[in-house]
Amino acid sequence: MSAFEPKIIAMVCNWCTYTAADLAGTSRLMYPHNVRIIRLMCTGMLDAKYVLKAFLEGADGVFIGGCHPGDCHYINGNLKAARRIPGIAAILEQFGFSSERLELKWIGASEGPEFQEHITRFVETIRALGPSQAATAMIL
Amino acid sequence: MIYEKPRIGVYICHCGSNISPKVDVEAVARFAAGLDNVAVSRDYKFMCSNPGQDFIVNDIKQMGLNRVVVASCSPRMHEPTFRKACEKAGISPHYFQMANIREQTSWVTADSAHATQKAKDQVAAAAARVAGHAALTSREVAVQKSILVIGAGIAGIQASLTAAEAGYDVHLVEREPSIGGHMAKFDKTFPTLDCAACIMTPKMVEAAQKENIHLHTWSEVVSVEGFVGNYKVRVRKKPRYVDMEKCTGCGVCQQKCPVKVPSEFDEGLAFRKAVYSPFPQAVPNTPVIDKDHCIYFQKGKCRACEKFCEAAAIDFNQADEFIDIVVGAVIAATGFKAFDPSPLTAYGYGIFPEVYTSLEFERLNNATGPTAGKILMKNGQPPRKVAIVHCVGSRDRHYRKYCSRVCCMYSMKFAHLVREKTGAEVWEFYIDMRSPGKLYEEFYNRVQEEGVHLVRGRVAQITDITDHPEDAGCLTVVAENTLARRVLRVPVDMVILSVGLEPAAGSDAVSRMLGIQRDADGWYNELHAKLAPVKTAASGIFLAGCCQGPKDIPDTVAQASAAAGEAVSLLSRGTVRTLAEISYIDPDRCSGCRICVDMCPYSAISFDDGAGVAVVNDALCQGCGSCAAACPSSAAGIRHFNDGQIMAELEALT
Amino acid sequence: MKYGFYPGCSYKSEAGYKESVEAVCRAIGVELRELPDWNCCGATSMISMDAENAHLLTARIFALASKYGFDAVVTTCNACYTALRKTRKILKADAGLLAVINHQLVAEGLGITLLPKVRHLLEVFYQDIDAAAWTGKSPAGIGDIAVAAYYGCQLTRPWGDVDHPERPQMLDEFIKRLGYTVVDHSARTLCCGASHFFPYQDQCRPLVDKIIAEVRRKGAQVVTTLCPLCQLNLDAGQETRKGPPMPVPYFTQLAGLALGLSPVALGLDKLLNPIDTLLRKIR
Repeated sequence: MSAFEPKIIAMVCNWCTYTAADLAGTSRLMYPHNVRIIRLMCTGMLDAKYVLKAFLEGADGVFIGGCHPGDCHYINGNLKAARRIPGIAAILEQFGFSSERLELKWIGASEGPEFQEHITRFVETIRALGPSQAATAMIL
Repeated sequence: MIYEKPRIGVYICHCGSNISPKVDVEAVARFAAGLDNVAVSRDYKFMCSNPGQDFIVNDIKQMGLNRVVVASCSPRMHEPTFRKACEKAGISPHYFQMANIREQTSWVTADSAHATQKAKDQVAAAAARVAGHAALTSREVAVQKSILVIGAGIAGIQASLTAAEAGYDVHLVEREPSIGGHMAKFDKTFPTLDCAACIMTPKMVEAAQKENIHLHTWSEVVSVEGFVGNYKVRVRKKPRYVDMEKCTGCGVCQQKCPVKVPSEFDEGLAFRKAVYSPFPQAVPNTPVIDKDHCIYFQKGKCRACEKFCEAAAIDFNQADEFIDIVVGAVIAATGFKAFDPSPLTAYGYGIFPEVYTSLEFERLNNATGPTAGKILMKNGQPPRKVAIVHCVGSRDRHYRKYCSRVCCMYSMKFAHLVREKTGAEVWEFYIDMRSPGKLYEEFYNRVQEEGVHLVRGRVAQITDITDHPEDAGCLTVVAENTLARRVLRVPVDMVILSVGLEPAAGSDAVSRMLGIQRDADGWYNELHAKLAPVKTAASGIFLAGCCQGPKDIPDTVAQASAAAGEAVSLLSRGTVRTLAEISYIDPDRCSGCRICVDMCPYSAISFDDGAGVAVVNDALCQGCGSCAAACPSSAAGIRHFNDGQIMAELEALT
Repeated sequence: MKYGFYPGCSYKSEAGYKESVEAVCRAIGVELRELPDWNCCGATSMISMDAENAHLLTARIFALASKYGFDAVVTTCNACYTALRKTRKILKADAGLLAVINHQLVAEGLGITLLPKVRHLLEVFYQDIDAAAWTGKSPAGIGDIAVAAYYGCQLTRPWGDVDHPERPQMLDEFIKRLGYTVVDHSARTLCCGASHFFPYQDQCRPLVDKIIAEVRRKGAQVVTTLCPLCQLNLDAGQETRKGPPMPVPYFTQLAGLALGLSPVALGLDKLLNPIDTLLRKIR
């Protein structure tokens, strides 16, 4: 049996983490191939259903990247996301799988190395957790 | 709109050798050809080059494509390029989506097979997404050619003059009877020791005389509605009880008025009358009657001012007057207030008569002040020893944790003036001496050379308990000299507390009216600390002077000019284009819960009581999506980032 | 009004504190019930050497209050006041420590069922007793006596929640309510030397001198205190050669005079610096 390769969805803010991901690229910082990035204009537009949809579609982990508190391009959208995440995590827990599969990190536009580091660690965390059963577990 | 079946063209870029060897671009192109709605799929060396763009333009024209996907670099790099190509070929620039297979794939993935697979997923997601794209429109809105400036201190005056000079109408609103603000209270200004009045008064007069500056003194802004380019402003003109047309400014009323009231302008160190101009050079120099202290208003008789006014300008029947104006931009210049040191009882302000705040000292030292500029104690004698205490209320976690920026410099100015005028011994107690600015360090050096005792240490206590009988009547300043590592007890005659700066009273109400965000200390937030220092998150609202944070006169004037420049730039453009990628609320789905109204950081959503639904103001919305994520009935969405588009990406990527 | 009373070690041996507290409480209708078998509060020294046992010591006083059904413990000493309040604050925030302490108290059959409020007698007089009870009875001439209120360090510190930590007012207001003339001064919370006075007299005498000189300069004829150690230091440590002796009565003694009680019943004859000349002003 081949080793488990997790599927990671990263939903990131256009103004900071997406730019950091670009910077990781220009700096040729290698990180696991498992991550697929979706660009949002702000983590404040992150709807809970996007996270649930990602898990239902078979993602093993969902990574959210927003601006550091105080740096939000739209004043405080990142803080709205920060408030929303625990609620989504609680839903995940209710379905019996680890809320570690959902992570929110603040990664500024200049933090390419941080992006590499967080993604690498997150992929390892998910790899250790094993495949998500969400797709089946969450269908009532 | 007639539904068109999507016909997508997919273009995979080699980017020379940046994408190509790592990602098998031919394989990705073959893969893309098999995706839903894809009519054509190609790969090319450099998609961003002219021949590359021509592929897209020709394919759209010849093959009837209505959607385009380019898989190449970051959209932050070339999205505008390809959108232009789409537009050139006659389709909406929003019918385009980019897959970032360079920065986020070929450059960061070690293994070629993995990179190719990732690129395929990205292309699939882009194709799935672009099928659901809509052609968005935005509109041009005309900008009113006038500016509202709130606050007529040096910031407001400078901004008004600059904007008026460019030919625009300026409404300058000031709540005090005269324009001039704090700077009018000062005698000398650091580091050049210019006479404040000499440089300020001409500007005040110019502001009053400029035809296109409309001065509204003794007035307050009561409401601001609308959006960038079109603000409807209501100004309340408080009754002066003196007819501005008739009054000649002779001042007889002030001589005859029998009531004495502590003068706000003189910081309570002198008296004014119930009918008063705050200071002799007031602009306008029409006095106001202070209703709360006027005997006629309080007890129904007196009218001495009316009796002696030859111009018959006194009018006790005046009432509030409301003026409605429409402006294209607003400059907030609400300034600051000085920290009240009373809570710091250890410093004895309000307990010991010879403890002054810095503003009180400014008046004491001012030629038009209560002592005609002589530095005298309450007993009429000049002080022999003066202590100046820095950072009162500033850099103090109990009060204001920030540095007020101006205190070190004005404290040294005081030290110089005390030395020059009285020859008294001066002791300055500072935490750190902060003199960054043109000629500021030189001024610090000069003050050092003038024999001022500079002690690095925070003052612990000021007490009237003296250590030696010969110091009876003195105040003892207790501080640690942290450089000499010993406690000092310095008996002095007079203490000046260099109080910090706080946001002006009422600035919170103004910020709410204008939709300006404030920081934890109450200062107005600029849009970007470095790159947009006078803009705010509210488009068309600009900041000048201390309302944004403590600053000295040169910085204030510079910022005020910049604010006027930004406002003039907006006005001279004539129109503003609304953003296309903004929120919409589907009225059929909206349940009227109003969660989005509170969520919106730009106050761009209002509630339509008649229809019972929330409505987005497309001129204010910035497209952050807070409303969309919070809407429990999915009525709110962001154009170009709607649920359908993001879900399509999610499905394709997983 | 009934309160649990914790007298502390210095109450009964001092210059008429006990006499005046009892006489005034009787006159005003305050019943102070001394907690039986009370122990040392630990003062400031114990807690700095052995915090855990210091809390146990103080907690035992609270347990006595629980046992006898008092929801408030009144003290007449600033050191007791602070020691008790400190332990109360810590126990209130630390249920674990409270459980440990209760476990230790079980051996004696004691336990804290309710953390009592800690009150200084001044608070009781000033806040609980109707202001009218103090006025009206003042003998003529009271207003001719100029009083400086001296608070010492521990009534308002370290928390500053009872009164302003640097310029407290409560004792001034109370003395004013009694009908005396109150002088404003800057020595309210200066250090009296506390328990250092006797081992380090050379260092501490100037401290007392400073307080006495300041109140004298501001025109005070007496300086009143609300702590036995302050009273002792100001009264006994005063350098009488520098001026006429400054009487240092307790606030309760001044309250008694204002209520028309006899100076002897208030223990005023026990003051080291006699107050007799001033008493003649009272008619």
